[in-house]
Amino acid sequence: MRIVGLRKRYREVVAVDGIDLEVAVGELVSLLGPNGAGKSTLMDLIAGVLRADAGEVEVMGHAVARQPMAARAALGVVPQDIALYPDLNARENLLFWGRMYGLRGERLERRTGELLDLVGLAGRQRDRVGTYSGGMKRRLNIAAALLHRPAVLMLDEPTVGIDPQSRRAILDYVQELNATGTTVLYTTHYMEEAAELSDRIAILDRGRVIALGTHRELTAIVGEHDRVTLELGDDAADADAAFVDLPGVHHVSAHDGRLELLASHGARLLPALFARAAERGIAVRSATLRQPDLESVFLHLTGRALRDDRA
Amino acid sequence: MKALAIAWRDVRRQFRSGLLLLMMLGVPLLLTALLYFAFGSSRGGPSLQPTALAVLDLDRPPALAPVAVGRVLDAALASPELSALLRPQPATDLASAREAVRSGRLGALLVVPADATRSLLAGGSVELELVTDPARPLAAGVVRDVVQAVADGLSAGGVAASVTARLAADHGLPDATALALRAAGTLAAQGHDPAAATLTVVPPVAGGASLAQRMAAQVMAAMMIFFVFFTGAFGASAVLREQEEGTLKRLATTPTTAATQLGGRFLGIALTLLAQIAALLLASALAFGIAWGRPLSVALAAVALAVVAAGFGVLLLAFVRTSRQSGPVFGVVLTVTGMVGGLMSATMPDLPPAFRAASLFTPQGWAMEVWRGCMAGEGPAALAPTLAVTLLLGAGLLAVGVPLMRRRFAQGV
Repeated sequence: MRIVGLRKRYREVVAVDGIDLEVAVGELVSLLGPNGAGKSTLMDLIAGVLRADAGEVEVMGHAVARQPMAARAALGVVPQDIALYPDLNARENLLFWGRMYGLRGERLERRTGELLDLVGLAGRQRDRVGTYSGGMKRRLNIAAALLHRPAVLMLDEPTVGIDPQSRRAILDYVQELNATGTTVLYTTHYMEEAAELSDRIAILDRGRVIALGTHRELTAIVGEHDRVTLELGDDAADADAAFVDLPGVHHVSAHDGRLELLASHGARLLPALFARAAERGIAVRSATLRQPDLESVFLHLTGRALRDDRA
Repeated sequence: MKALAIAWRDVRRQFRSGLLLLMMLGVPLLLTALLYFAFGSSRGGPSLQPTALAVLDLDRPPALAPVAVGRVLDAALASPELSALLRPQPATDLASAREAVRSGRLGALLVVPADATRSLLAGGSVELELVTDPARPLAAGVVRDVVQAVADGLSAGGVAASVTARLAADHGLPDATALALRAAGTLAAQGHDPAAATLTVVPPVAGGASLAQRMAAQVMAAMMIFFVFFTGAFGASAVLREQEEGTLKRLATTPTTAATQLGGRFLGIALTLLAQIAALLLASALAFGIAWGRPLSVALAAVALAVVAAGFGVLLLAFVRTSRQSGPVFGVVLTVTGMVGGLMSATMPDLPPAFRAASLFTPQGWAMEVWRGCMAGEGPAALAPTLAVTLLLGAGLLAVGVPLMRRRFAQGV
């Protein structure tokens, strides 16, 4: 997959701002970014659901703008929201989506059966999808994109709002598919998922790829900086100024009742942090120290936390 | 094949909705059944209570007249064939008889003018006055039909007399009345009783259909059109539901062209509507004994109804933003246009011509015209003009609605 200079604007908002990205055959690339970073818009542009203002997308050598049908035939798209017919059963849903990808007859029947087995829904295949749990719907939502054995699978936040067991199952499917040669583009705002699954990770913010590389390469960006999280409660919003001048603190960000700090030698800094909090009358409920991770990278690059909705 | 898969998906989804099935089939059949049983369900004849009809016979026939209009009418209206429909009784005073109709004690009043026989024999026209209770339009319709049938018989006799008189005059014989009187005198001399000159009246339930069946047919046609338009609108709005479910967007990620999607959707709507129409026609024929007309005419009428209902539904889609809005909007628009289109007054006699003209400004009005023709036994040739207008109207509605739909649902159709 090749993306060159891709741009999309909604009135005053630039949703995708000149993205360049190449994904090799068999590679698993995660798009990591907060809500509103442009991940879903980028997925829609790749799938040809949206028309780009500028730039070009190629999927398996087919330009999405000029050969949309060929490009779509090579793609399997798992939308962020469940996109199934609740009044049809699982089997009927899969048969319908299979037909939309051009499958017929015995091949379609066999593939439908395989996928129902894969996602563990063979026993409930005659039940209407509207009666399924969230996790079952998520699994079926993925199966519907796999019927035609796509060369490239795109998953848009497929684990949002589901139980840990279903989440684990979905991550396992994705890894298995990738292991069999399927190219995967996976969007998430869970850094743990991106870290676990990906060959490479593209960090998106405000419609741009602000960092791209392997997990190791990305965490190296923040060097030896640890991430310290202080749970403060309601007064966190104004508390960041109290810590920004402490020696060793490189960055402070407040959100959701928490302070996120990037600091050299975080363990050594903790006593000074507590002392400053006591001095300023700030109650600290808990403190967490983490080694450099993708959250640190995002904080380092943007000054904001990955899950900061103000982004 | 993809279009067929889309169509089949839509048909299946529509027929899996209990509420929609109730609206598509249950309600129109139930409404018709209520009316059918209210007016009697036996195929042999109606169980409608006979209408009390007062006859004020002011007719003063010339002496020896071969026929007396008033007496002929009395005898015709009292015939056993009409006993289930009418209970005639003599009236003596115009004012009190009118008051009795107004107060509901009588169903109708028939006034035979004093010069009725004389006018008939002279080849002139006879004006019968029929006073009915506007609060009982069905009884009024029955009485009007019966009196019309009797009057038609008399009129035919009058025409025959007039022609005979003219021929007689051409051959140098005296004037018509004198000729008739002379003929009557001859007949009387041979023992003929003028009072025995009666008409054989066929009750207005011709073709073996009972009153209840005729009423049911009218109501069923109107209800079928009304609810088929609802199904058409809800079928078109399925695209809104898909937009909200996310499946519309997902469909746009598959290698399925917009034309295929559009074709599949229309095919789905058409199949749903045709299945609904077929089910209603069959169920009503079996349950109420309704004769819908010639098979080819019925098939063409069904297609025309499906096309115009689908077209109207697609156009209405432009005025709703969400599936939640679609219920109230479709309800209001389809009820108002259905009323203007005459679907709520299908059984009412004597509607002003303007009302009928107004109905032709609605697609439902044209659909009703087609089905009226069908039920009247018209063949495809006779039905062709109304069919053509209805189909063209449907095509026009689609021509306006489809571009609006495609613009609206840019991600897919």
